[in-house]
Amino acid sequence: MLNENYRPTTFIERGVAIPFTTPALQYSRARPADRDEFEILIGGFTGDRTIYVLPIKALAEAFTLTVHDRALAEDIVSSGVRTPHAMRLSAYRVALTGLAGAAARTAARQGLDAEKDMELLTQYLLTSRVLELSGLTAQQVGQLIAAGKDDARIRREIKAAAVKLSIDPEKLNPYIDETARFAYPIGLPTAPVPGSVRRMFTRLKRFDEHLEHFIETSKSERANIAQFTRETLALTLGLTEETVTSVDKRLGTIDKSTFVASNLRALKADCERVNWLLDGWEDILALFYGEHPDSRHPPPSHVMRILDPMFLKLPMVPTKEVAGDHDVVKESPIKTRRAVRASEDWRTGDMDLETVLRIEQMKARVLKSTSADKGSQRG
Amino acid sequence: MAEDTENGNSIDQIHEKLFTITDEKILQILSLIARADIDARRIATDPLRPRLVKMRPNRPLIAMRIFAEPFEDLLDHADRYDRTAKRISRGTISMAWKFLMDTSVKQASADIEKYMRDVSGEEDAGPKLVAFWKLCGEELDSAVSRNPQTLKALATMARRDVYRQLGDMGQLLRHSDLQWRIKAELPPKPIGDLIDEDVAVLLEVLQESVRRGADVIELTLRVLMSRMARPGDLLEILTKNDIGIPAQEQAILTREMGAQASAHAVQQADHAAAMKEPTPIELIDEVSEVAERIASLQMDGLKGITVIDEQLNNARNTLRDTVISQIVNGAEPEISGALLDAASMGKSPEQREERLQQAEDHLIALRRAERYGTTLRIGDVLDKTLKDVSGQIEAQAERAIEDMIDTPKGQRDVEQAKEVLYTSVRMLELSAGSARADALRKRGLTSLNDLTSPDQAKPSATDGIDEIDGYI
Repeated sequence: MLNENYRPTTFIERGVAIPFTTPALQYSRARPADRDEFEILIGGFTGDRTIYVLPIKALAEAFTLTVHDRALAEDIVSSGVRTPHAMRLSAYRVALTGLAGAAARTAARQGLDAEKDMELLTQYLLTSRVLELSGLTAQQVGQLIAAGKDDARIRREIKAAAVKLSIDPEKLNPYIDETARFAYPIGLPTAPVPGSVRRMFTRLKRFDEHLEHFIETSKSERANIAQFTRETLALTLGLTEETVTSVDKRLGTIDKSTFVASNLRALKADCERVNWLLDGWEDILALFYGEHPDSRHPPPSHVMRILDPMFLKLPMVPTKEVAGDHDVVKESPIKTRRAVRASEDWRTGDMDLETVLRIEQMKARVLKSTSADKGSQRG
Repeated sequence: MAEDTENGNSIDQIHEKLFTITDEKILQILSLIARADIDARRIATDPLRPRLVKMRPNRPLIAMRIFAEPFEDLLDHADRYDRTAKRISRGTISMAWKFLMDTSVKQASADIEKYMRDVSGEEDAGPKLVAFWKLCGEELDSAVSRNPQTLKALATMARRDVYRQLGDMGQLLRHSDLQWRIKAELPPKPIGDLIDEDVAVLLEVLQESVRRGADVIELTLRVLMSRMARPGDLLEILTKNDIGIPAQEQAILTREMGAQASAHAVQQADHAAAMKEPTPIELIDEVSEVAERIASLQMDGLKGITVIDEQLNNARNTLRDTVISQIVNGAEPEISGALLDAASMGKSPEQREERLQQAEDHLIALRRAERYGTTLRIGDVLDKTLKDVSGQIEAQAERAIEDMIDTPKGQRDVEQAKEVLYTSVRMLELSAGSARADALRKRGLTSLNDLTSPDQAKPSATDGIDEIDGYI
């Protein structure tokens, strides 16, 4: 009942979770509005489920924002952030200035490096797949790639492969680069390091077990929030798995159909869809585990404290996604709006510094998690 | 032999060294000590204690440590302050344990040790532990009476105190199911804000304690008081809820607990003042902890009790002096020095970074102290310092930008200047709030961007993946 009321129709309508550090904006999302503008959806402001919507440019008038958030809002507008992936890049850019503290800066540096590494790895694996088409062994492919892109031999081999795939040889490399650029969060199934999406999937499954344990042992009435979280999570994981399987199928074997325009577009749409599905869950994990390692049950007294914020942050699966109608790429301006309220009664008091510091630490953990995970995989 | 005199006589030296040897070494030492005789163990670990508090190593759960869990909250904190009122000393624990080793506890302790080693994280160890503790509690009295000579050897006052400690231990062990509930269902120590679910658990535990007897409720309260970040909140709950004791008795209990907690506050404040070269964050952590206690004890139910008033005042003054001498004084030179280094590129990048981090920590400590401005009566001093510091940061940032404008074009490093600007903005935000800091950011960026030649324009910030259609 509640879930039906609460569900956005599309991802675009739901908006992208924004890593603001201002305490009042912990439950906010951004989405494109008319005329190249952006609007911010602010939840949890009145303690109920009302969501306030206001233009991003009015944000600084309605709230006392941290400098970090002012810079982030500017970046969202100037870079035209519409997707979770773009939001992550924007968050890195702003965190790198140091405006959210040294820990966030370091975390952003590590996170960015990890993302670049994954992109490179995906590029490498795709290239080697293509080269294997000409009958080269994995070892020969390795030697070729190590020689560099401009080496005469590799150019010859790429050309041969392009002919096999019946595409313009000049376009093969750009195709591979672009495919890697949007597919690296998922990564190839055979990659030595699993992509961040796959790791997230595993972490969310464990999170689900921990939620289940909490529900079984808790006497609190509010355990139903955990139950609702599990239902949303099940939906999210189901759709994610389905989409990742489809991506794996497309990239599993490289043949003539792989680089056909319509197939590439569908592949890109799938990859974006996964980003949307998982958007915001990293924050949920950061809340749920807090300072506790996420391999173990956090203490129930801690879980009890984060139930309400978790509920407000929960990324609902849009109704159209559930119905299987998910053309996220074509979907554009907002067709349906929810509660729009003026900003009259918003108090603009000082921020609580300690809350801001706590949030910054949490953001640092979120930014870093990509690289931390990767480290443990390697180790 | 000359070496012996050099190494052998200075315990202080060893203590100093404890903070420089590696964590691995400490763990090694610990594992060696763990199997030694109880007294030897205590003597060996006492000097390690301050370091262990910092490290919080996962020590093997040996049976004696399991045994001590129900009364760990009432133990002397060797690392923090001296004897607390009605405390339980580590010496008494080893004495009791020795007595118990002649009883059926010996076998049970081997069993529980094994159980705790093998138990999975999923299983609730509570029932097994409580059963073990109850057995210890039941055996303790008779075990003590079987060993009269040990206690007779003590001076009268000490003997009386040790008897009292043994009595408290026995009670806590026999009612360890309550202790277990407190630990399993309430947040870990120090317990901060309470939510409805917590209050419900608290009230149940308190009511059950009252049902079990007067000394049980007193012990439960003492345990809870030591676990609460703001013990006054607990007393507040006591006055607002009926836990089943007559109002008059409850008022007496409240006063007694309040007096104990305020005595704690004095000891803790002294400890904060005596910390050896703490970083500003370490110091403010300690100060906030005590200040929270003090603030929570300034409650109606405890007003006008001279002892408590005096003690709280005493603690307050100690904290005030500590904050002024260790956080307020020296803040200005430290912060502006760090910014100056950053702007002039003095010292190595690592040193600059480290100094900036220290300066930022110092500012955070100042701002956190502000929160206790009223409690500690340091609001005015802090206001003035923050104002001065803010002015300095702003002036230095403006000067750095002007210097950059004056620098010949070829020698300018605008990106570096931006980094310095962002650092100043962050500092100014911490000292003067985000509005003023953002104004500085905008002014600075405008000036610096004017200096940037077109070919240095910032790279396109698009998503990248959107461009794929261009290729297809």
